[in-house]
Amino acid sequence: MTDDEIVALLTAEDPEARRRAVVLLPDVRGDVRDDLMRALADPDWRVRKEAARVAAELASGGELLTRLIAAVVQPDDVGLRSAALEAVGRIGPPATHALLTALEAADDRSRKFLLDALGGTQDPRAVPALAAIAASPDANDAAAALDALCRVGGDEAVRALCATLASEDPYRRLAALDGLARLRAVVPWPALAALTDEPLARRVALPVLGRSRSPRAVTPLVAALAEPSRHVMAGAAAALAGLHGGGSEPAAEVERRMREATPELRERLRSLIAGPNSPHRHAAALLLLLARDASALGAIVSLAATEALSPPSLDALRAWGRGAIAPLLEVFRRHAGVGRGTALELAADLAAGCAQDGAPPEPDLLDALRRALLAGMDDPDEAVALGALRGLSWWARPEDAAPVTELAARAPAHGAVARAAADVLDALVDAAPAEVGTALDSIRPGGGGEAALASVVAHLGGSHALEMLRSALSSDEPTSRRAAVGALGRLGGSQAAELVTYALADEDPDVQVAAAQALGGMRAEGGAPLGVAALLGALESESPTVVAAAARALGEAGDPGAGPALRARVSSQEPGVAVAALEALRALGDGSLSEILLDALAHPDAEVVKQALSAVDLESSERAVARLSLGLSHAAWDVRAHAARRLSLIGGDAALDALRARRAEEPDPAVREAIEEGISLLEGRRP
Amino acid sequence: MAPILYDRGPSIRYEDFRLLRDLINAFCGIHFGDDARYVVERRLRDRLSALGYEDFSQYYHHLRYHPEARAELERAVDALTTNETYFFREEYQLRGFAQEVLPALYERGRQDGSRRLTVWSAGCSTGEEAYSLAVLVLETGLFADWDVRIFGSDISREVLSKARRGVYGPASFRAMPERYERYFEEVPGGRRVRDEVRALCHFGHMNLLERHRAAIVGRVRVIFCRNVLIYFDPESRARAIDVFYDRLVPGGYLLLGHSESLLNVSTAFDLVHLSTDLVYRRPPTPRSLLPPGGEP
Repeated sequence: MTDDEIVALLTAEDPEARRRAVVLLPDVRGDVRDDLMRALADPDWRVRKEAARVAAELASGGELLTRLIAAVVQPDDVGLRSAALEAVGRIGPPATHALLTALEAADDRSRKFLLDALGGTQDPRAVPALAAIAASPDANDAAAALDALCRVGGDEAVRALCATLASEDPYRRLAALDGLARLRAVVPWPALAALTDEPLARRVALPVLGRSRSPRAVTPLVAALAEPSRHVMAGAAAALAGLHGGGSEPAAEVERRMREATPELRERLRSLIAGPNSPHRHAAALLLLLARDASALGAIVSLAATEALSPPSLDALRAWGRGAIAPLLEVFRRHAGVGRGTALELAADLAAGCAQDGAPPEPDLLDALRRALLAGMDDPDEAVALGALRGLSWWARPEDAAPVTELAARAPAHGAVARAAADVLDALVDAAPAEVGTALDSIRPGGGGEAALASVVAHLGGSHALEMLRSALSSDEPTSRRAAVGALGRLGGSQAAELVTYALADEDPDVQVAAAQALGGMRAEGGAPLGVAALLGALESESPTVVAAAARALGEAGDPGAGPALRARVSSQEPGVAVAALEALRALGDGSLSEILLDALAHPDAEVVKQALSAVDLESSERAVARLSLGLSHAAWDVRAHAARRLSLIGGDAALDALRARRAEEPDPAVREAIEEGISLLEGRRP
Repeated sequence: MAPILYDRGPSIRYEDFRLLRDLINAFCGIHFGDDARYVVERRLRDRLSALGYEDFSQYYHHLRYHPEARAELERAVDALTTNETYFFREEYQLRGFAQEVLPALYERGRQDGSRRLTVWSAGCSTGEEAYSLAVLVLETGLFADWDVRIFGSDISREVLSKARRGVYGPASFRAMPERYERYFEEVPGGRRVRDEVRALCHFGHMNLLERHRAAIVGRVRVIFCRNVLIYFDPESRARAIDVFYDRLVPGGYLLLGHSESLLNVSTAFDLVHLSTDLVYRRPPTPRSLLPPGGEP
């Protein structure tokens, strides 16, 4: 495209043509500064926005930045100013020095625009200047500086904002509060106490109170729950839920106040659970569970069924304990929405928890629970049947074996319901083997139930088990054969091992994988591993997943004779195979592993490298530090974190030096955490 | 305090959570913040159980190395996303679509002689949105002898099979105006979408980040993608918007959810003010009049 063509597009009537031209500018023209400045003042916002993007890419310093700053402070063209502000913000910290210089010479009119621009850089170096202006007599400048501090963020900015909370000017206090809320800062209660008496400040302070970790913040937040504004009420609920997570003292106070909540307040919270905002729904759920509000349980179990309850909410439900069981059963009986199955499962689990704590529910309640679980099993809604079966795994009786087996037989094989039914029977086997055995005898060979219940058959054991599982191996369903293979592995013994070995030749790779996995754990009567020769043969499979499974199984089998074959697989191009081979060699304690680690440490797949780092012999500390240090500079964060943790196990100055050196340049927070923990450990301090 | 028994199952370490999160994000754009860790743990436990795994690192390896990893990734995404929707969701926006967008498209089609209306419901979930759009098209009476196609796509095969069945329970009708009742008939298990509506709708499996597959949709006049992109990270959101730009005819409309905007995502779309909503539109300038490149 020629210069004339691009100029024509830049001045075209169609804004889309102009926008496209701006995008093309850097590739087509040499000096684009004039064109960009004109585009920044274009009447179409999309052209201006593209110009801002391009300008930011080109203007880390120099004349273009100077012109952008001039565009920021000019008084006439608002569109141009906004576009220039956006460009400067995109440039970020490289623009800070020029902005601070301009600020020193700024007049009253232009100062606030420069403050806006400094906020956009998000550069902590701007904080001292912003903090000084935030305390200046000029209210407009102070407001702009406070807003800029919010956008910059960081500890220094937070300190400056906290200092402003003591200002005599109420608007500055509000602006600072708003900023602290946006920054999710933790502000100590004494700085907030006086603000809770100011109606307007109180509303803005809600999220900040929620992070204060002070039990004294509970009172103003509970008061805010009663405010007419739904928005304020929701904000207070979210803040209370946050405060509850801020330590044992505030948690205890929140709980106490929720238990005392009035019916009106509870009703307001219940309305939040049905609302469109997910964080508010969860906050309300937690508060109502702390309040032990039975009327809310229908909505809460619906939330649990669709979104999962938060850990604090589950803790609150657990603490409620037996008092929640009957209401949950009522939800199962009467609730129209989703969550009936969840209600059953929760009720059964709470009852089991009480029993485990040595205080089982009353017999009448347990009877009601069982009736509900058995009714739920037959519900046409799969979610309800599932919840009922999961609950029944705690409360099944011998007479349940037959109906549960029947359900497993007719449920879709290998679905969640079939698995849950198998779990119930598994739980019953030890207490009622005869009943379970009789029920299993009714399973039609080759039917879906056979597959689902294979593991139960193995658990039951006995001579009959082998025959049933042998029969299942002939199924034309690969998933059934896979289940049978797994069950034979659980059954154990030489005869079972022989059948499993045949399955290594199954036409379905997943069945072969299951066979390899099963063989890894199978032993002859004297304790010798079974099927090693067959597993070595499986290492030659075309399927990488089968090879990987066979490698792991050889490691589990513990036969040192597998070493050479496994070592040869460490250099496999298939990362899953290399990982499995390394795992197996570690399990075997193979002495030659250290010789092949260097190649593994250079593997392109991060999982292989991590496995190799795990295999580094920590005893030879000098070489170990060298090898693990390679991991500290790997491109993948998880490899670096793993290397840091391994280094912390070695101890010594070399490992400590390596961690310290990396700490200075590590960008990833999770890796920094691992490094800090390692340094603390090695310096003799426990994290 | 011990965890509630309901919550039994393997726990997810932070490292495994982050690796799984990144894998899922690379696959379909959906992003989970750190505070969603317990949700991921709870919802994926059933997948671990189904595959016989005891910890999440084994599951991660499955998603990385197993030949069926892609299918399992889809099941994982299905387990992790809330697919709840209902007929005539965000009715104010659909009103704008029916009263302003459709007449505008009718006029344009009449003028250029194309007589073809194509709509893409991207992220259609269980199908209520696609069927709602079909009902609105029928209600206008404008497109009786036109070629009308409403294509609903989703990454979850399970919801697509529900969409094809077209039978819904009471919860799906909670916001539906009474006047549309005649487009449904009572059947065992709920209410079924009538054939005249179903005839306009097609469903397909699609990942919004796969630009090449989106060509299946062809060029469309309207795209609905509501309350889907909010789950994406910014980069994936931009990629999906690129796909939409690509699929829209010049002058075609893009309708997002009420809390979604393109403000810091793309400048490639015009903003159009309807009386009840703001929608986006690919600029009407024909491709032939624009320089190459410069597209998102």
